[in-house]
Amino acid sequence: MSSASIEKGIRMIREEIDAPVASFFTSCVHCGMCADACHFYVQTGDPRYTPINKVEPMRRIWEQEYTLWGRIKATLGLSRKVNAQDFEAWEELVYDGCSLCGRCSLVCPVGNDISDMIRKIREGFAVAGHAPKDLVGATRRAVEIGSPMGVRLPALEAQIRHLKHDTGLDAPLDQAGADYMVLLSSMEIMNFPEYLEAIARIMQQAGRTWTISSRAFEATNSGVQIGVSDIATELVQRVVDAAEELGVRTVISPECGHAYTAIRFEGPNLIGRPYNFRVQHILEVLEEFRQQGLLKTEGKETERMTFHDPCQLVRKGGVIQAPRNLLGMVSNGFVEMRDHAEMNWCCGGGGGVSANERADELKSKAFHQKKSQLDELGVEILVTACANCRITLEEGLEQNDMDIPVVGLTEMLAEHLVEEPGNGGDT
Amino acid sequence: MTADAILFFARGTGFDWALAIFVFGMLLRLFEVLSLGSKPDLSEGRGSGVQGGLKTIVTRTLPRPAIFAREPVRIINGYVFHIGFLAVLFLYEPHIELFEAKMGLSWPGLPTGIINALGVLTIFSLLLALTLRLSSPVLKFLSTGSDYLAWLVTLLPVLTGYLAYNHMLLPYTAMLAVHILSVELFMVVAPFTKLTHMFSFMLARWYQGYRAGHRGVES
Amino acid sequence: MITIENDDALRAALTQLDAADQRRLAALFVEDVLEYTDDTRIRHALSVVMRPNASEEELKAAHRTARAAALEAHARCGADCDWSDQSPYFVARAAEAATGKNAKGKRSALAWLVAMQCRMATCCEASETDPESEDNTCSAQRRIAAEFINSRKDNSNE
Repeated sequence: MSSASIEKGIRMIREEIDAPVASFFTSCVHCGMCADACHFYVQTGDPRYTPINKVEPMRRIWEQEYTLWGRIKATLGLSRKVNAQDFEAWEELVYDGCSLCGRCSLVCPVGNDISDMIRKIREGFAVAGHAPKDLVGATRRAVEIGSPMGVRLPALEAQIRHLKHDTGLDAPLDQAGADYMVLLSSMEIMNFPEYLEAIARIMQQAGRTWTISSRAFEATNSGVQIGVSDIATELVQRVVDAAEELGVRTVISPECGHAYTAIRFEGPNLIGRPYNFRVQHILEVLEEFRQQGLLKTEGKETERMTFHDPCQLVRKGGVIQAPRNLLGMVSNGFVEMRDHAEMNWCCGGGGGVSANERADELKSKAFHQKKSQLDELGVEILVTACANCRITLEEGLEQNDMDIPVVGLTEMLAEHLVEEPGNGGDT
Repeated sequence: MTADAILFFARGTGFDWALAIFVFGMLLRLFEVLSLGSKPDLSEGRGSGVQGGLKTIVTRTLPRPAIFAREPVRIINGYVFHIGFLAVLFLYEPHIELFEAKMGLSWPGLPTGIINALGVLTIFSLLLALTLRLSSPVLKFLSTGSDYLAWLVTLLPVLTGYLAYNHMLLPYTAMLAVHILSVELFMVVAPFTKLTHMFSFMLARWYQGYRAGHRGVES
Repeated sequence: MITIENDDALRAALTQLDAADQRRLAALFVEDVLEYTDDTRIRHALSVVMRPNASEEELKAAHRTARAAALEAHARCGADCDWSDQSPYFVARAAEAATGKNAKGKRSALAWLVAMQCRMATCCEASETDPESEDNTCSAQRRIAAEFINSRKDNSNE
């Protein structure tokens, strides 16, 4: 990369340093406990994947720019300026070797939010031209087409027609004043379209109105994953404009982890103002329905099953109890992994890792952490609530020859809805 | 210079200068953090940032069971030398008298026999900490000269204090002078190393805890 | 002799079948949409299910193959994809379900779930080419199911 891009990268990293970041670097005692929390380190044994090491370039920039002692050291030639080689060496640590799962942040004894620092350092790497090319492509498609995977409105319309054909249910587009505006991730549309039917059936039973925006249906925020806030902002703005124009009360983030934290927490800070609507994850909505007695299910699965907690939903999203309450409605065989809820281990595919083909081998190694959790527990079904986790888990299970089906929670609930007579399509 | 002269310097000018550097240095480090500011969180909150911040300052003191299970020795050892160091510093009568003289505050101390034992425990704990640091691939990889310097300046006051109290190695006056100088070394070096964490950890825990409390997520 | 006129009837009929028959009928559903995929592993996996004397090991191997095919065919996160190219993925998913033991976590009959995946495969094709093909798949499935159930009845009467 040109020295101009590297300079831009360094400047961007500098801009990302705020008081919290400075307090984190000032407090880090090199205890290494963050490594013990990281599936990439634990499964490779490579100390470079120690979370705090992933932000070492940021630490050097902070020390040299924002501390007197650091400036003195730099002047005396006692510390090295971050350079092109550092960007090259750290790119893999920052993108391939981190799924932004946040487990390190939760265990740091001095309270460092290392995961957020990695999110921030990506801003510098992206602008320096050191983001993985697969993420660059996905982000470009997100901006130009509206979906990182090139999913266009006709595909969604085809699924909506299919839904009507098979179930008689509508998925109304651009309905002003609806209770909920549903977002969908490209991964769901392409790989798990059963999710759309599940939503439609649940909404019908709950008696709630819902809609999808024809111009802003994509939930995935590639800008957050790659670390380009301008793009992240634009993608959020599209959803905000659509939601506010339609006057919906709540925007539903689908079964996709990173989409949730992006729109729920980062979004207002990106666009610089609070929303005029609420954001809820689909599981939060379903939990509300459950509490209000609007979700009527019948039958319980008896197989031994467990829940893989999507990191962005549970640890970083705070939606911990809802999936458990909902699973309790349809299962008698639920057991927890030893490390569960906010301490569960990442599938390894989040934060752009699964989109990055270069990271495939590393992701496979990291999956062994999840494998060890499942081996210990011995279950017949693995339930989760994130389309990306689902595929990552399925791939990992397949690579390790483990025959455990992975099921989406919303879909599972819809499967157990009490059937109203005459429900279901009929041509 | 005679031992008496060094002791006189250490107790007087030396201490004043070291304390001034310590206080000024630490305040500067904290200022360097706080002056960068932070943006407010505009997302819809689920809870109180203040409660989250305050809670996290306290609760991060204890490790998560899952992490403790992976590193029980290193974690327990960390508690031992922290508690030992603080106990010897704050609960030894002659130290309390010093605080009283400087700040007008005083509190009950522990019997000197216990302090002596705690001192030994802390010394061994610090030696174990160094061994663990050198033998762990992650810690060896992360550690810089500054980490080892911080370790040394932390060990020396405890070690020399023990030697002075027990009238070992050097005549008492000389050993006491060395002890006080080692404390001054600690104070002078601390603001330039990770020893800043002794104050800044509250800020770090606060910032993460505040955001977590606001968002209603674990911290 | 039964005829199946609509999806309610189809669903009801499928729940009457035992696990082995569910799988065989499911395999027939997948066979009906095999034109949407070039993956020869699918046909081979289905042939195992269709054999009355297939062993547990052979069924497991067929399931593994179908599962691998489905994962290979999935739309990769962040990759440039096209909905109309997704049919092979849904055919593979259908084959994966048809070769599995039962539909874990789901109340619907296994054959019904497979039928739905097959319809989704047609939906991908339909979006670009033939909007009526979905109707055709639905009526084909009802016909296939009726023929299968009737032939089972005939066999058991003999």
